Amino acid sequence: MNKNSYFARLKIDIKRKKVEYLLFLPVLIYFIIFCYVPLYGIFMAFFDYVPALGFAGSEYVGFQWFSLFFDSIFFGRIMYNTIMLNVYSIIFVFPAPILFALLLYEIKTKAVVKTAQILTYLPVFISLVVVCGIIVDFCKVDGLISNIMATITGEAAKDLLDDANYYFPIYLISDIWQNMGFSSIVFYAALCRVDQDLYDAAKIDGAGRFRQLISVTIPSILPIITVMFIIRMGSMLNVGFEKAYLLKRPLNAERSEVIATFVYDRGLKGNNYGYGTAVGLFSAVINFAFLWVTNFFAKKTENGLW
Amino acid sequence: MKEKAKNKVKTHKFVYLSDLIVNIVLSVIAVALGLLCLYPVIHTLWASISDPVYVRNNKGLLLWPVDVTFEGYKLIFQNDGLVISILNSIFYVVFGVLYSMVFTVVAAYVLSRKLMLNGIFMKMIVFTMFFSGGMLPFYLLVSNLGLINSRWALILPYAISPWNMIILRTAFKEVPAEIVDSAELDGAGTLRVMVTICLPLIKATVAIITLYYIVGAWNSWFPAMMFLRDRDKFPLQLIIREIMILNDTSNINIDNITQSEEVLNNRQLIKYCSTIVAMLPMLVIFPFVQKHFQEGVFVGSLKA
Repeated sequence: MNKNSYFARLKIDIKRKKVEYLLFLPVLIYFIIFCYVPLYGIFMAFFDYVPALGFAGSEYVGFQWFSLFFDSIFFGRIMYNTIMLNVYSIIFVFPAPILFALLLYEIKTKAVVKTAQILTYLPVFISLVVVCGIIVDFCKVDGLISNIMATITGEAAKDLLDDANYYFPIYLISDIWQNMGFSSIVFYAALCRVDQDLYDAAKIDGAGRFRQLISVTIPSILPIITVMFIIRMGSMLNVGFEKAYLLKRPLNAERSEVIATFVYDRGLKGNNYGYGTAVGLFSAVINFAFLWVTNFFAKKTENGLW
Repeated sequence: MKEKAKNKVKTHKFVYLSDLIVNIVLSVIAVALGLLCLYPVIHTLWASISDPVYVRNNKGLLLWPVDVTFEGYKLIFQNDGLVISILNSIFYVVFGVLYSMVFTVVAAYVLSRKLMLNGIFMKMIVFTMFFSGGMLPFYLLVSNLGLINSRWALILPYAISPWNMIILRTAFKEVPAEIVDSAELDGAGTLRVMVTICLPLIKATVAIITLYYIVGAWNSWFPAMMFLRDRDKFPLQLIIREIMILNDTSNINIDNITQSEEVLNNRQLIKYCSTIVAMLPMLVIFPFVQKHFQEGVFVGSLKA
């Protein structure tokens, strides 16, 4: 055997560092069992899968589940909700931490920055169950937000979660509330590394405060914004399952039903594993397409992810 | 300690009055946003110790507790269903976090060493961050392993969060190679180097990762809903979902139907108090974690 061949060297490496390799073995087994074995389950999308029978005993149905989904009356509603919730989220939720980081960056009193940071980081630590519990509490008939809304619109207070029209705003605003502070960390850290000489140069050129923001600050953090944006685009068809599931009610289903909740209801609760997996696979493929397309355009500006 | 921190804060000199005004306006906005983030927590806290009748009839802000009463917390600790769920949550946190930490530390340490296969191992782990079989294949796997309705279903499948592992690996990498090499020359075994030499050097990062896992384990509810059937195994978060979101207190032996004043009051107190109990560990941990955010999250995101 060639002494320098890859496997010969590998053999020596394993022999020399056998304790390290041995330690890693359980980790490897963990990833194979819990992350790679389930990948195989994707094939359920093409079977009328019955868990007791396995793949061998289940009937192969080709693309039946996919066409069933595309033809179903739920398809339009679910796709609309999933896509629109993401579009609104990109418009309103995505820029929030960037704007907040810029706000903090413009404040020169460090004590104020610290205080604002601590207060806004807090909600991310609260569990989704409690967050949604508080939302339910604030939006119920005699809740705080319901009554504020009633004062604004002049109508009688009602349970806002029972009205499908309020579902998107509730979902998005609570999202901003919970994540704005924590998500701003990355942007704020990037801002803190902006070269201060650039500002001095801009000042000499006569740039005012606003002009410095447009010409120095924002271009400096554009790369990190692009990376975050690409990652965000890659989950275009994901709506956080847990929150959607917690806030979903029959009365707001018109707006709250999304792909993930549909997969759970049909697949796990309805015991139709093939159908559920097919819908999940469909959304994973679209997600990847979005990620790829965004990255394609980002690469043209030299900010691509790969 | 506080004195020191104060001295460190640089004072900024304002050259123009307009700069000072802008600074004040922005500061007010930032602090207002902060208070807005805090208010829902404060509201729930005050509601949990205020007179329930007042809270029910009050439709506006709750800036201060009214007629302070701790009746609600008494009710919680007299309620077997809630006490058991709290103990369950503690069980899941303790064993889940121990298990996760052992796996994560080992994985991070080995991957920070120079092993020929590490490139492949790393790619394998990063792959799982982006691709998964989805909810249903995962459920069937756990079911095939015979873990349905077992407490271990909430622990065993959640050994490593790749993100945390990468942060820890970065920290291990920053331990100077000379220290590790000289220890190995002195005849210390791999395990010994890892535990007695490297770990103490990165204990800040280890603490942060542990806290992340604690937060995750305490706040988790969905795996419990998916995998558990017996109520006496439910964690607190799942019970909170029942009483706060489904508005159902019948399962914890609080009358759900009677509308008498006393039952109504008790139900309302239990709601708010159990929510506070569910938040409490996070509120206690929070001050310790938030200091380290700036570095921890940042290092991870930079070098991943």
